[in-house]
Amino acid sequence: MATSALEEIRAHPLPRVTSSEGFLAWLKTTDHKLIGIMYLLFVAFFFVLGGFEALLMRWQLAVPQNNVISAQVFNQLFTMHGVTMIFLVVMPALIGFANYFVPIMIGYRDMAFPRLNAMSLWLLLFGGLLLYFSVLQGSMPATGWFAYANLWEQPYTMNNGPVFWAAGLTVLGAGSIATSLNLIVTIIAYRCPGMTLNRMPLFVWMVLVNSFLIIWAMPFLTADSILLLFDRFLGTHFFVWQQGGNVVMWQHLFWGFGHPEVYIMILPAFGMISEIIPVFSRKPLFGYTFVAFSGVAIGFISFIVWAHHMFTVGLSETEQAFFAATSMIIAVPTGVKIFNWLGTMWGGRIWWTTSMKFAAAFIIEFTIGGISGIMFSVVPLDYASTDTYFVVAHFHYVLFGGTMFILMAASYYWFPKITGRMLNERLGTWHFWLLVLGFNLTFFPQHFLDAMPRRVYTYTNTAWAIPNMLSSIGAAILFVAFAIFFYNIWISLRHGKVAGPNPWSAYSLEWLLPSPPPAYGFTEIPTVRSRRPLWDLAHPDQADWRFEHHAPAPAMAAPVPSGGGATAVATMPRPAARPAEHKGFQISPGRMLVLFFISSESIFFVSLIVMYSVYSFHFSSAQLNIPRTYWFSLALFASSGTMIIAEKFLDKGNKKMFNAWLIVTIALGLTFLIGQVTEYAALYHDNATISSHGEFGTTFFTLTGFHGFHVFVGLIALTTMLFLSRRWKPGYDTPLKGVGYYWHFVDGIWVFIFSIVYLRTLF
Amino acid sequence: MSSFVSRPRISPRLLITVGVALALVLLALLPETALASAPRPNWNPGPPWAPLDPKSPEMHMISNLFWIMLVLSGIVFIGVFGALIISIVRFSAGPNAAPGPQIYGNRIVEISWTAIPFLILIGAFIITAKYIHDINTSQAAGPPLNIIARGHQWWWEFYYPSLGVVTANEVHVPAGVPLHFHVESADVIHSFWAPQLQRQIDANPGQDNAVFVTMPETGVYGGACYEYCGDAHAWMKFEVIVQTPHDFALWVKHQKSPPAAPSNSLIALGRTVFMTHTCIKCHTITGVPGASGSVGPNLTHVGSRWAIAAGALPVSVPTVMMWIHDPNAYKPGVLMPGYPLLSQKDLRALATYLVSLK
Repeated sequence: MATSALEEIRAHPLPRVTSSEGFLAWLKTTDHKLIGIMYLLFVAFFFVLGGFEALLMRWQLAVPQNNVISAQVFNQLFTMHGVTMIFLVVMPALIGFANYFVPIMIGYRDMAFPRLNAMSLWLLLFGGLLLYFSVLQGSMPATGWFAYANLWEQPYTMNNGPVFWAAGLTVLGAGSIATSLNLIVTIIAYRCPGMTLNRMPLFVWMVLVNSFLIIWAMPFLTADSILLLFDRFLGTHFFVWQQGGNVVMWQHLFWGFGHPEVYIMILPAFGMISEIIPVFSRKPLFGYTFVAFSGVAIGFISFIVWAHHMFTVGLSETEQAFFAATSMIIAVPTGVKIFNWLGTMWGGRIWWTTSMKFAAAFIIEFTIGGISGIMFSVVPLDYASTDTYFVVAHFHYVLFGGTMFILMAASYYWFPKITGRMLNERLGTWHFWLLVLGFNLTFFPQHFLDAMPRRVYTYTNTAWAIPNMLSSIGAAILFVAFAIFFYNIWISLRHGKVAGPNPWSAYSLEWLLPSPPPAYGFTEIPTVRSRRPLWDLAHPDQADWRFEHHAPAPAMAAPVPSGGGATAVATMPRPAARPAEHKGFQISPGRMLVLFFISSESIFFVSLIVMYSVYSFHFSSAQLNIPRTYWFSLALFASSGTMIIAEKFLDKGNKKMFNAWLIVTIALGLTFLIGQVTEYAALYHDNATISSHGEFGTTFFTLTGFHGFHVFVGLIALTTMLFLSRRWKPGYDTPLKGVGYYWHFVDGIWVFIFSIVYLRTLF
Repeated sequence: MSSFVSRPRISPRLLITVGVALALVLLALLPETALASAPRPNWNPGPPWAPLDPKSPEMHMISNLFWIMLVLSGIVFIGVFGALIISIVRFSAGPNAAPGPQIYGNRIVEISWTAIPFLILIGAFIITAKYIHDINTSQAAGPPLNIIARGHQWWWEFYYPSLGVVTANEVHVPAGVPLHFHVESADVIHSFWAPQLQRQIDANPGQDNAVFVTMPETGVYGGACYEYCGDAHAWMKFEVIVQTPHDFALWVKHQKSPPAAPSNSLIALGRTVFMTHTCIKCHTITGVPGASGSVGPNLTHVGSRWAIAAGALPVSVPTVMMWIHDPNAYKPGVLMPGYPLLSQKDLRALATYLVSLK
């Protein structure tokens, strides 16, 4: 099977960008592999941009009182360097690899929703370009990547840089949420027979955890961005402290996103390294269950550590102690992973490919970054090192020494699969040693600049000159190292050694395919019986499934399909079936997508409700007409019931009654919206508007307005269903059920808003 | 499997040579650009690792904690590094080596390397919680000396409510007396920190953040804003001058005395320029009627300070002239407008007057 497919792929290589047809093929593709490649190409483009920004900064800081670039330009550079590297390099690089490899690692042919996948890709490109277009209006964002309020408020920033920041990140956030929903559904619903959760490759595991982090963390950022845009354009004053706003709330929301984001940027990389180290150690991963579950633990804990970025804002002692404790706890599962990787190497037969060298270097660099990280959780040390170059050194050891080193390892590991050719190992060795040297020379001396503030465009203190000069020389070496890397890619694409399907004797399913894999992926969906299907094929006597008792299945493992049990071959051809069927799932992928989307939307509403609740301690509400709101709320709640009735009739096939009840639902929804409009009109009459003094108008109209907007979107979806029902086909109940979930969600949220905004004023 | 090894057309050595040459050219350009910059006042926040050279009991606690953590981390690091080195030495093999024993894990080992760090961190947490409390609580027996430190874009205002003294970018404190800094902001978020003396704390608008500290050793210590706050964030420095209580009392007395009357015609002219050229809209000089602006730093006794413009330039007639002529050249983004149309004579008179305010 493999050889014939190999011949075929040689006859039909990837579409060539140079021909007009090939160019279109890339633009219009929904193939997860081409999309994955394009992700990585865009990443390379933005990486070069972000890298040059860093080089300019290092040039300016090389000596005291340098005048290479002005303060204003420097401030734009460090802002855009951060935004670019986080949102346009690290995240999309991990997502790009996930896009390419998750479907084929779980034995499937594509992502669950290929067109949604293409949309996510283009949102990345255009979101990134939107950010950089800000240069045309005079200034790129210059408020730091976390854009603390109220520096971006007028008059402190008069140009529209912050607006581009908010708009760009909202677009990028939408793209990453879409792709994460896609990955979640793909991983849950489309695993091949035998691929229980307990047998999933670690990379897939970590991508799954990561995707949940993205859909639950991103909405905090979206909320922050929306509030920024409202403050700038609608005259709200969420962060205008002179009018009752609170600048620290920005930080709570931002780090509510920002700390999970730190793990979003490293968890999939942990997954990659958990694939790479076992392959080159010729051993299985030591303690698979511990590594997988420590990833899940990190995911959960990462949502309750956010305020450790805020130890100097003046939190109470209790708050500081709480966040110190959680931040220390999250170090435990991270440490466990490091020990497990070392345990994997221990007693192995280590093959020092370039990929493995990067993996080993990663362990050291990341340990240094982790150690300085624990120091920050010891709060008094944070008092004496935050906002200095010590913190710059720390997070570069985590993100560069951690994620970037793994991305390098992953590039050398998977390049043969993606292109069919090996990267040159000799150039790789040069690249590796120069990168290790340049990286440590750049960032290690910064540990000693514990009194130098970060984000200053110049300094006068000659005692800081030597570490800064070393750091700048290191940056120049990094430039050379990456030049070699790009040159290696360039030359190896043309003249690299032909790889063959499995040059590393690796274990996971992607290596079963020819290199590069054909567009359709697997000719037949494989069946797996253990965590290392290709190992089992190569070593039938030592096959993992013979020793399954070493790795007892966790309780949450999905049921093993009946097809895989009796056959002795690890991977056996089997007719392609609809995966959702043989998985025995009661819920279709489309509806699953809507449910996870709703969970993400809930976080957005949680942010707005929190803002309202916190501010409501300090304002007196305007006179709200509670009985009127009660009646039109009742209409909204009733519409959930009518929706359920409509669905019941649809299940029975009674189209007429279905139509009738759907119309009733729409009418009730409209009633609610009309009620809201009359309420707004009355408040407007009393001079209560979104920009009126005090925080009531600001929070009230933002919260209820966003809910009204969701009702409006729900009504459009319901009306679309009404028109679709004229030509109803059996498959159409999936979108209708999805819209139904969304409608119930909109109603459910109103229960909370009604209680918090209206009922509470009664007491 | 067919395979052919390619020979890269450009050798890595050539790339490195080009890269190093490029770097040398850039470095060669650096000293010239450095020479072009302005004279800056001496400002010294201590050695680069200033918090480890503490000058107050509060910072002593922090540095002690650092050394404890460094030892603990060092043990972890040596363990990890050692395990990796041993793996390299003992377990390296070529691509064709036969696989060794397949070990899937060991529950006892794994549970212990989860539990042991957890126990160590419980210890670290207990110390942390105690130090959080100790550092953020006033150790004073009686009422401490209150000082309001208010961040502005981009300078620091210091106000002693009990003494009626206002100064800018320079805070004098009596040695050994418990202090209570009320850190606040007039505009955006800043962060208040003299690395050898006290913990860092943010200056948030609309919030009163407390720093409790005692500074036993006399001396001059640098501090700055550490939270990015806009264009001139790099020029938002201050100095803490720790004096004996006697010297401090003298300083307070001097600060409260009005400036001396102009001693010559140049200074008198400078004073007239100051009163007539919008300076008084933003600046206060106590004892000079009409000079009561509150937007910019208080200039009473500005001539006695270590610097003007929060560390951007030293105090001397030529530098003050440079500053008033074009402040933006020495402190990019500064809110003070330049006075390029002022005649050289007026400019010199104005600078002389300001420097005379000792």
